[in-house]
Amino acid sequence: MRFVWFLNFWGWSRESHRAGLLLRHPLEGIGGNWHEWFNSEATAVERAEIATVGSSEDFQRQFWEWLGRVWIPEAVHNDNRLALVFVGEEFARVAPFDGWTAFARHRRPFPAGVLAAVVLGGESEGTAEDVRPVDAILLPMERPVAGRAIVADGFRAETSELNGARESALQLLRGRAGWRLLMHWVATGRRPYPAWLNAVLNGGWLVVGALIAWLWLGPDPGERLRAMGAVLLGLWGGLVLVAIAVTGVQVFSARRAGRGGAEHLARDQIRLRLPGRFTLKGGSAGLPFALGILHAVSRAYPGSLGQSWVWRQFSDGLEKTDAAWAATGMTTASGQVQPVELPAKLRACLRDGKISNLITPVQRESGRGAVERLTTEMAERLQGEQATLPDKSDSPRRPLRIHRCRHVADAVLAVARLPNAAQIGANLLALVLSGVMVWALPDLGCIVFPPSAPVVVAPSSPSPYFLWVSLDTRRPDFFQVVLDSPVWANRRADIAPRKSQPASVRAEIRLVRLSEASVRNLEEGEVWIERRPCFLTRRFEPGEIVGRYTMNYLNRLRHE
Amino acid sequence: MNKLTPLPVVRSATFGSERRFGLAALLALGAALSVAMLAGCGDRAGAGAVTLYARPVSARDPRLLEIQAQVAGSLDGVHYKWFAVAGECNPQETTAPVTRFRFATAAKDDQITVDVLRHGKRIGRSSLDVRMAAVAAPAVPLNLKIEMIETPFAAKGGPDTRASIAGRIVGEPPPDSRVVIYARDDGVWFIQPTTNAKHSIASDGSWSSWTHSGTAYAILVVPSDFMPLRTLDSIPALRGDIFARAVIDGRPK
Repeated sequence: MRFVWFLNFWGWSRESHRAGLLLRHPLEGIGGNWHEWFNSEATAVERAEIATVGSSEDFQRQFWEWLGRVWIPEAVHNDNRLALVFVGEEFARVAPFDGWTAFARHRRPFPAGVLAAVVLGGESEGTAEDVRPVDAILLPMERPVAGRAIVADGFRAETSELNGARESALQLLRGRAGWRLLMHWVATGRRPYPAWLNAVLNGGWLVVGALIAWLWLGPDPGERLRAMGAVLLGLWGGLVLVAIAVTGVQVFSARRAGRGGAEHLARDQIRLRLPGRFTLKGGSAGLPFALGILHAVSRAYPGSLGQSWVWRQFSDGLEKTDAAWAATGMTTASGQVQPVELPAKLRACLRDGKISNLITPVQRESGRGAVERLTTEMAERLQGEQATLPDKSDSPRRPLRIHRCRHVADAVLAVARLPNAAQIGANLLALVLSGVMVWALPDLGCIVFPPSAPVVVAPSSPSPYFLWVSLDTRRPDFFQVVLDSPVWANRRADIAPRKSQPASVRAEIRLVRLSEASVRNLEEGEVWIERRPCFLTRRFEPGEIVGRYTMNYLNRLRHE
Repeated sequence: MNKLTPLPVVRSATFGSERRFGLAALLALGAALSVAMLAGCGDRAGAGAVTLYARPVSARDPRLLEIQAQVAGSLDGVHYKWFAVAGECNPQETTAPVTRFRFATAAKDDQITVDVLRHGKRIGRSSLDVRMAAVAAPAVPLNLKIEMIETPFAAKGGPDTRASIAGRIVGEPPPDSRVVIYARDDGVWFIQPTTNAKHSIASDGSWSSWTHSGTAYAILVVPSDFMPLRTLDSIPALRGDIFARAVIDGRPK
C-alpha cells in the first residue's frame, strides 16, 4: 500500500472536523485541508512517500485510480460520480498535486459547462462576456448541512437567491412540477419508439379513423360488418394499450427516478459555479441554476435519473455538441419562470455567437417579432464591429433559437427536445378517434359480440288495434320486429323502451287489415325478430333473423 | 231499441271450449316455457329459446291441432323434428316451425316434443303437454234478448275514438254472465274497449261501457271464464258458451 499517507490525511481531516477544529465538511474543504495537513501535519516519511508517488506519472495515475476505485466509495458511502471530479479539481490547485501531470486535466480555470447563464455585468448592455457557463456539482454529505445545502463557487450570491433554484429543481423531481413536466410530455412529447414503430402506430391510428369513417358513413359492409368491427375494436384496443403502457411506464419510471434524484439532492450539497468572481444580484440566473442542478443530479447519479428515458433526454439534450444552451429567467420555489430584463441578454447571446438555444420567460421581448428585430439590428451592428475588429471566434456564428417557457418543466422539455409537432398531431388524432370509439363502444361491442336473441314476453297490447311485441333485451336498438301476415299490412317496427303503462321494451305495430285479404283467420301472420346493428347514428341493413313468433301466440300473452 | 240479430252457434275451439283452451294453454305454456329455458337454439352459436304453442285447426275435428314453435335465436339452417308420445305429427320434419298433430285413438292427453336441429346437430328442444278438448256443447236456448239503451254513432273506428254504449239483457242469463262488446272497423271486429274486456251485468240486466267507434257493434253474452278473441272476422253464432248475441249498426249522425 503506497497510499497510506492519504488515509492518514483523510483520518486527520475527519477527526479534526469532528473535534470542531475544521469547520467545513472534510470532503467540501478537502483542498484547504490537504494544504494544511501537507504543510503542517505530514511526517517526513509521509512526505517522502508522496514524493515517490509524484515522481512518476505512472504512480500518479495509479494514485488517481486508487482514489476513484477504493477511497471514494469508502469516503462518500454512495455512488456519486462528481465527488471524484471535485476532489481532482481541488487537489489540482494545491501542492504537490499542482505539479503532477496526472492532475493536469483538472487544472482548468473553470469547468466548461454545457449550459450558460446570461448574467449582465455592471451596466453592461449585453456583451459576449455576460454569457457565463454554469456548472453545478453535488457533494455527498453524511447528513444535510444547515445553511450550506447550496453554495456559490466562484461568485457571491445571497443563499436565498440560490435556494429558489434548488427548490424548483426539487419540485420538478418529486413535486407537482414533476407532474406538470410529465403531463406536458404525455400531451406533446415525442415517444421512445423507434422510427419504424412510430410509423406503424401512426398508420394504425389512420386505419382506425378509416374504419370508423367507413362504418359510420361508408357503404354497408354487409356480412363483413362483424369482421370489420372486430378489426376496429382490436386495433383501437391495441393502440390504446400500447399508448397507455408506454406513457404509464415512462411516467412511473420518471417519477421513481425523480424521487431518487430528489433524495440525493436533498441530502447532498450543491455547489453552483459561475466564473467572474462577481456578486450576483437579482434572480435572473434562477432558471439556468435550476437546470444546472438537474443536470448535476443526472451526472452525479446516473443510476437514478438515468433510469428514466425522459430524464435521459434532458441530459443528452444538454450534452449534445451541436447545441449550445443558455437560459435566463427568475424561478419561484414552485418552478414558475418569471420575466427578466431581456433585450440586453439577447444582445449578449447574439454577440457571443456560440449560443444556439436561449431559454427565456414568456414575455413581450421574447416574442418572435421582437427577437427578429433585435437580431437584424445586432447583425448590422456586428457587421460594423467585425469590419474593424479581427474575428476571434473559431466556430461560425449560429442562429439563435428562442424557447419561451412559463415553467422550469417547459425548459426541461425544450432542452430534451421532447415537444414534437407530429406527436401532438398524432395525440390529437388519437384523442378524437378514442372519443368517437368510446361513444361507439356499446354499438361495436354488440356488432362483435352480438347480444342474445331476445325472447318475446308479456305484455301484449291491451288495445285490440295494436300488436305489441315485447322483448327481454337490454339492447332494443339492435333489433327490429317484422310483421309478416296475409291479413294485416306488413310492417317493420323499431323496438324501444316504452314508459306508457304497462311499461316494457317493445315494438308497437298498428294493425291495418289488407283491403283485399281473402284469409278469414285474423290471427294468421308471423313476427320475425331481426338483428339490426347500429354504429353511432347509423343503422345497418337488417341482418340475421333471430326469432319467429306467430300472431296467435303473441295475442294470447297477458297484457296487464 | 235496436233489433238483435240471432246467429247460429259456432264453437271456434276444437281444442276444448275457449275456457278450457285458455286453461290448458296456460298450463302448457308454463311447462313449455320452463323447458324452453334450457333449449339451446339461438344466439349465433345456438343459445336461444323455443316455446311450443298449440291451437285448434278446425271446430269439427277436436283431435287435430296445429303445433307452432315460437323460436328465439338464429334461424339460419335450422329445421325441426317433431315427436309425440302416442299421437302423430305430420309432417314429422319441417323447415318451418309448424306441424299438425293428431291424437291417438282413444287418447285424450299427449306430449309433443320438438328438436331444433342445425346441420344435424340438436341446438334446442321443447315439449308441450296437450289435452284433447271436449266437443263443443250444443247451444241451449235461453231466450235471451239484448236491448240497446245507448247506441254509439256509426263512425270510422280506431284507437283514437271514444263513444259510450249501454244496453240491457232481457231474460234470465246464467249467473255470473258477462257481456263482450265488439266494434267493427275496416272490416274487422275489434273487442271493446280493451283486449279481454268483459263487462258485468247489473241485477236489472243492464250493462254499459265505453267503446271505440265503429260502423257496427256486436254484443255477446258469455260466461265469466270465456276467453274472447281480440279480433274477429265474423261474430260467432250462439253456442254453449255464447248465450246471446246481437249485431247492430251504429247510429247515423
